[in-house]
Amino acid sequence: MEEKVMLVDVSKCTACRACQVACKQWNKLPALKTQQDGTHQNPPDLNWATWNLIRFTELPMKDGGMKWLFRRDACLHCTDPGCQRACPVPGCITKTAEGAVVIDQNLCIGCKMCVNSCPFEVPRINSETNKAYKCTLCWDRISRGLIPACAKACAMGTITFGNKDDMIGRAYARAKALGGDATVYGDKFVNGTHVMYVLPEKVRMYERMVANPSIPISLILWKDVLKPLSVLAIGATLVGTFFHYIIKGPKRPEEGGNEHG
Amino acid sequence: MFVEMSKELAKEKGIRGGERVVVKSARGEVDAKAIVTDRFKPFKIAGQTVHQVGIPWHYGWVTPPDGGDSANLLTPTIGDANTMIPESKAFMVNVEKKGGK
Repeated sequence: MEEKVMLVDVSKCTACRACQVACKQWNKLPALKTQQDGTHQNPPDLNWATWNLIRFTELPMKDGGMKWLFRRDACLHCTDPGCQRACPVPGCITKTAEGAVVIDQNLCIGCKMCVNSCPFEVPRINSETNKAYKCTLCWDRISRGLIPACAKACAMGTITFGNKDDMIGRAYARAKALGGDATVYGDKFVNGTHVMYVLPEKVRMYERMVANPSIPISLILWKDVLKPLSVLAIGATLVGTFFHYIIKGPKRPEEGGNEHG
Repeated sequence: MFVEMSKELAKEKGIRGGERVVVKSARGEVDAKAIVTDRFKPFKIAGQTVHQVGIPWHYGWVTPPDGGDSANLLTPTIGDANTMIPESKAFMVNVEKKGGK
């Protein structure tokens, strides 16, 4: 299976939210009680049962005009996932051949390290079951030659899905055609992600869009430096103890009895 | 049920975003939550300031249970013979904070 990329061309999004509904339907996610937060955005944030959310941003312009920006927010399926690095359970977070990053809730222990380590603040915990949830890129669909549910539902052509190089090429062509501030987001950070955007406006104008995402330095220091050194230290201690015993022998009371005569 | 209005109208009526308001027409009235937004701007028509507000149809009476009434309580009672869908979705209303000024 080839590496795939989902392209979200935000310039075509009308915020119909068919993608939000399709995700709920395909993954059998329940509706949760929500609240009005002053915009059309619903629910106000990603949660354990909402893996795909359309975010609405209202931006008053200097000339008195208004920009109403919509963008799809969901897991970006990093090539080098911070969540996978941080997860202490081997095999809980896996990457498929297509590039999807999937959490196995059966193995998840609810430590929440993935939540802290995601450069895009994506995974969410179900406080009742204490498991982490996020978009799966419909790995169960894409591994069988189908496209993700959200891409299938999108009537505007905002969400498209295909082979990586093909989609990157299309992304840049579209950004060039749009002109202005249009950029491609996602192919340069964290070794590239499998969900990319064509953004007609500057990155910082979109609500909760991370301008310079990176894996937290604490995570890198922990997993790539401290952990190997600690394992080495434990091993060295055990080996050292063994050799000390062999060379010096067990501890004996002082010979000659010079303490108590 | 929500009613979207301009910042200027909200200021005039002393309404803050998220507050419960009553939208009233000659036919009836509906409770709604106020959304104050820059996307609505007052019009200047023949020298007068005219405000526009927007409401959705409704959220249903069953789900959610506190969703709100139908906008059809406000519309002119002239509609399609079979469905009674109102002929016009544009009509005059007043918007007041719930519980009076």
